[in-house]
Amino acid sequence: MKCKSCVDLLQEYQDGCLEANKCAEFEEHIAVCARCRTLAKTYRLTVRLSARTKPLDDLTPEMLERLKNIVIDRFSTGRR
Amino acid sequence: MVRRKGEKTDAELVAGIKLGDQADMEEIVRRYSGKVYNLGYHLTRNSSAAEEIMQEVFLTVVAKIGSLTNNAYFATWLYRVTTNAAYGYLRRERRYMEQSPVDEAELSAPEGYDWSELPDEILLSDESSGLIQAAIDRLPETMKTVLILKDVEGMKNEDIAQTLGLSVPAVKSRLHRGRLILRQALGEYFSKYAKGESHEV
Repeated sequence: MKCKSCVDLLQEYQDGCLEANKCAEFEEHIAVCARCRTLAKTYRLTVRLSARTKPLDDLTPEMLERLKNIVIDRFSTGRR
Repeated sequence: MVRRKGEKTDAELVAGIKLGDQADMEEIVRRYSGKVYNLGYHLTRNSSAAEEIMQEVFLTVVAKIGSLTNNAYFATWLYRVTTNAAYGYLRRERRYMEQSPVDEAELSAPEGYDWSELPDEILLSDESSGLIQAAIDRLPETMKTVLILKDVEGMKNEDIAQTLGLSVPAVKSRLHRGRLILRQALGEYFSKYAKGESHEV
């Protein structure tokens, strides 16, 4: 496998949806290619760090209460 | 989604809502308000806007749930309503960014420095979190939405495709490019910790 193919397969490899034979080729390549190994590791870590992002301001109990009041009022009066 | 054992499925709740069951409507609100708010917030970066979007979304649920033909697809439909509401807000605020060309060759050029080996106190610092959030904020809207739905909300590619009206290959392409852009931003930031420089936090 060449480096260009490795880059193209990164997303599928990261998300676990690469076919077994392609996965094996990918892993054989990064085992011997330091640059692609770095690419794969930093790509994986990027996904992990993205997953940790959270809203700075959470949904508050007051917001939820306002929401419920508005929605149930509309729902119960049957205004559709 | 938080669903306790013995609780109704989404499809069962939707069926009840269509028949006028208020308790089922309240449960759907409880179950999805957090996710709708978070998605609205991620797309607008504004808590007031996120609340406004959340209210708009659930009022849409009340008004239009009768049009949902397959109750099992409620979550996908809800996410679509949410993204459309968020895009509408951004367009009104003139903050909607169209797709911009991305030089993929430059993005995927592997750098020599392996910043994944940095200590967690650097990788997981508030500063690094702020950086990645800012990088996500700068992504074009569709790319940002795909990345948030996939990597933050944990949705499957097929569900994202259905939510956004895209093909699965289009979802994968936007996701991959978005991740490469973020990776490049992180690489530029962490390059100051390259071997031989200080690892002070």
